[in-house]
Amino acid sequence: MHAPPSSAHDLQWSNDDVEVRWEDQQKINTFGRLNTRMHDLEDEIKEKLSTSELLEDAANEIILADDDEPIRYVFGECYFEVSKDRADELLEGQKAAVDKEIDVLKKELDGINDTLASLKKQLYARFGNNINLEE
Amino acid sequence: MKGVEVKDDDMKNVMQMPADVKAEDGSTREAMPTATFITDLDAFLKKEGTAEKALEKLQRLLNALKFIEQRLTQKKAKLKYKLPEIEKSYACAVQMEAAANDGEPLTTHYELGQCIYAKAKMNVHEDDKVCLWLGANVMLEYPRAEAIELLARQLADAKKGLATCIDDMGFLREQITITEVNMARVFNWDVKQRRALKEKEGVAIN
Repeated sequence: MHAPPSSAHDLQWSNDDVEVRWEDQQKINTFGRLNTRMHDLEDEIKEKLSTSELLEDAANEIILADDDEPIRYVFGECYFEVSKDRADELLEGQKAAVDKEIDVLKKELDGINDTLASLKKQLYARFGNNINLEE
Repeated sequence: MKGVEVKDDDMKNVMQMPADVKAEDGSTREAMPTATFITDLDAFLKKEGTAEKALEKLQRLLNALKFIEQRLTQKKAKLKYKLPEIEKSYACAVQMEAAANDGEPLTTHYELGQCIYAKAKMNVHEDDKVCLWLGANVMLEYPRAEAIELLARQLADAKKGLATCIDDMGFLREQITITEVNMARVFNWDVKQRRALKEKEGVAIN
């Protein structure tokens, strides 16, 4: 028995379906919303992690640079000449900011994963195989 | 059933497309059609006539919601692209200010043409003017402090706009989910109904 196509969670109901109550619907809603958010967060964290890594690499490269040679640091579309110390500072500041953002996002993701797991348990308990909650 | 009231004109409400009004925070939620959970399937289908008719209506609503979702996805992509651009300009202006505070000119390498970089010395410590590109071929000169302030404000606005957009998309997602579940339930109700009818006929023939 196939339901009309549905994108977010491929809901399939068998003939002996269980009555859907408003509270079930709300749980399904929350699940769908958080599930989308989870994917967004995962992408964002991945992106920021690679930025953080690049900054780390840059910081390591700078150590090898000459002390009195100015560093060309990217700002927008152009390079500003800055002293090595200043470049160090800027890199550190940037990395700290990115790492902090990653922490915040990871915390949100953890919370969402907990809620999702609990909702999944409840919804499968009520609907069994009649509901398919895609990852 | 608790928590929902199903009014007679629920389906009418469901199908209404409010005018395109925008809330103060840029949210378009007010302009979104909302889906209503069907509490009593039998009553709902009695009112709608046939399952086909009900499904058709729901499908129309779903299409409308999907269309809005597409628009919001575009809006989000645009904001996501804009944000780093503003961040870049902001970082530039802040760095110029920092150099000015040190009382030094700023030496830069800028892209003259594709892959050609030229060196420029900016006397940031003597002149605190910067030009901001406002779009639509307009560039305006600002005192640096004002430019930083303006960019900071734009940055904050863009971040807020993005958060609102994500929130609106969440709300929309729920409307879509409700509609999809409604459709699945109507569909299954119909299947069950047909099967019951068939069995009855079968019994009659035998």
